[in-house]
Amino acid sequence: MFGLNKQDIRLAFNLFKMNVRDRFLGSSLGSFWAIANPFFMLALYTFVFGFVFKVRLPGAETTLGYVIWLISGYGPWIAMNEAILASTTSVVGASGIIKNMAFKTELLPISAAFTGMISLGVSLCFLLILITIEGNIPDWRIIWLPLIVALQFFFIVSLGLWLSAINVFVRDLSIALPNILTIIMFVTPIFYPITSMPPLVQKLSFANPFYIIADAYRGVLLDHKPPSIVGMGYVFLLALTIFFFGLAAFRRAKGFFDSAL
Amino acid sequence: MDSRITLHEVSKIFPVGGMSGQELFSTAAQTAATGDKIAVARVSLTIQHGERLGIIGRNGAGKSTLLHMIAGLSSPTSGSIEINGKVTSVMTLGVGVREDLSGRENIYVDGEIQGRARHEIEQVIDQIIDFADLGEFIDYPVRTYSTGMKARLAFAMISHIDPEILIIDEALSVGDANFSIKATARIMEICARGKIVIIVSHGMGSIKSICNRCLWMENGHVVMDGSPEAVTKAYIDSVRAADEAQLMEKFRKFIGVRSMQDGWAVKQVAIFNGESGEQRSLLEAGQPTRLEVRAVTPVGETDSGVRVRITRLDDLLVFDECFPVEAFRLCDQSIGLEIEMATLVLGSAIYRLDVSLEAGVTVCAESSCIFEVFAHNPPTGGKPMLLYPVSASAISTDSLEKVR
Repeated sequence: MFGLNKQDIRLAFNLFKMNVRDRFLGSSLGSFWAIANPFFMLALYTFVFGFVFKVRLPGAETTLGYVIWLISGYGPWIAMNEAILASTTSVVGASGIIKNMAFKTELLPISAAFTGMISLGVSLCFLLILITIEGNIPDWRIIWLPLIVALQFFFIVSLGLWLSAINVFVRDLSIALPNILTIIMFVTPIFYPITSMPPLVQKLSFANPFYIIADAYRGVLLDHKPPSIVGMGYVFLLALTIFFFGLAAFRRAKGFFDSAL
Repeated sequence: MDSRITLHEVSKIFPVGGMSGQELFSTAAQTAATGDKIAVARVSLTIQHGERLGIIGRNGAGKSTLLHMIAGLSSPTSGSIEINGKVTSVMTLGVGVREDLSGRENIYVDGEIQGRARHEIEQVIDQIIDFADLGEFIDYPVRTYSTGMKARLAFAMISHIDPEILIIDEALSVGDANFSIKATARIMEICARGKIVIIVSHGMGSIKSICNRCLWMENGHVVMDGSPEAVTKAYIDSVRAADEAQLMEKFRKFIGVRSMQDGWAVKQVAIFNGESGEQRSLLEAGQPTRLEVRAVTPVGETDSGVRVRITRLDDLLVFDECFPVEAFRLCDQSIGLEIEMATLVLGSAIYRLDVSLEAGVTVCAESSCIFEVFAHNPPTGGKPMLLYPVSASAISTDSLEKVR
């Protein structure tokens, strides 16, 4: 599929393992941090919004409701944020092996994107614990969850192919990107319900893939409703288009990586 | 199936001033804009099964660029490369080495980078550890290693490759003398197994011992393609000739007669050489040689001198002596100086003779000329500065006594 074979998938898996390990290389707890870091952050959010600020959603009785609502949207966002950044810098960061070994370099942004899976997994586990405590257990519609995760990562990978290739030639991208992502986060109804956003943003949000994904998580986990087929189909087509052209552009550009790295 | 590499009109052009990302969008083949660096220019080449190709040339000749394209690390700007067989390339040793991991863990990482499964790495790991010969250090972090140990580990990681087409870029010698011998032997062994081997090296010795075909590149073009002996010899000769031409250029700037102060002038510098004592500029080594200098200086300058200096083409100062002027004043008040060498001991090369008139430390007039020395039976293997004339005779009994 897409010109990748079994050997390439194994290499992608190896690269993924290396990405995770290298990030915490030299620390005594090692890869444990990959799980501990997002966990501590989520615990902090729970403490701050659940016990210090005591934010309540309209109509909710406990403060835990807001925390659950927040994490169900913000958790996937953190994973997305992390994955996009890792993917963008993946090619430049692997300049050593690119200049010395012939392999399918498109595996780099793809495998880097999957590092976001770890923090997503931690978020979802954390969330399930909170939901269980609160008692609002998700019903059978949770079977939609893997599909949403798959779609989310397909979208990240398709963006990653573009961003990682552009970043080779325009290094400014990886510097500006964290700010751009922060802007996107605040424009997307993740921290606040969509009803408290300005009317213009409310309208635009239905075309915002980041919102559609966050909303799909919330729908399945909290509201017991399946994700909108139109929304999911739209994100899928969007990701497919970006992926298709991104892969072609990446393959065109990769012959020049050698001289730009 | 026979391995085979075919290059057809392969060019690589590097845009000057960096890339702008246009590679992502433009599908059309790029053409060289003015000022762009053409690293490889329309190279066509066929490498057959069993050929061990060495590529030589100066820095920036396009050797590595060509190698990178064949290895698939970069793609040509125009032209096509067709490869039958699996390519293994060794460009730099120890690329993926993680300083914080132990030697053993690094072997796994290296295998992972190459897309191997864990059980495949486990099959060769003992062989690698054995070859690296690091003792207990194999389980210590690489940051505790010496440079030589790192090189050994890095080399050991490639030591078990079993290539169809092998491409090596100057990675031939590592570690201490002992390990280097072991490594070279292993490289030879790997090369012998490979169906096609391509090597870029500056070591003519390794090219000659490994390769059976040699390519000489210059400015992106293939200048010569033939047997390693013939090509390396032609290459070395050309490098030497080019170096000498460059030195000559520098030398020529000095030639001429200059007079910086009134009343001071070098009138004549002449070299006589040979049994007959003819005036020459091409001198034969071993012959009696005489140097004649005529000059004028103001009378009464007590601190003045004539400096005679001989410099070889490669800036080696052979002779430098200052003679007090007054000792050589002739009856017509001019200066006449004669230096004699019973036999000319200079080795064959081009030399510059500088004669300057000095008052204290100031140079008041000078004259420079070039002469060349040739020898009928020059020693081989380098450039001797002096050909020392020796005389042989029967050992007298006296000196034998002394030795005892």
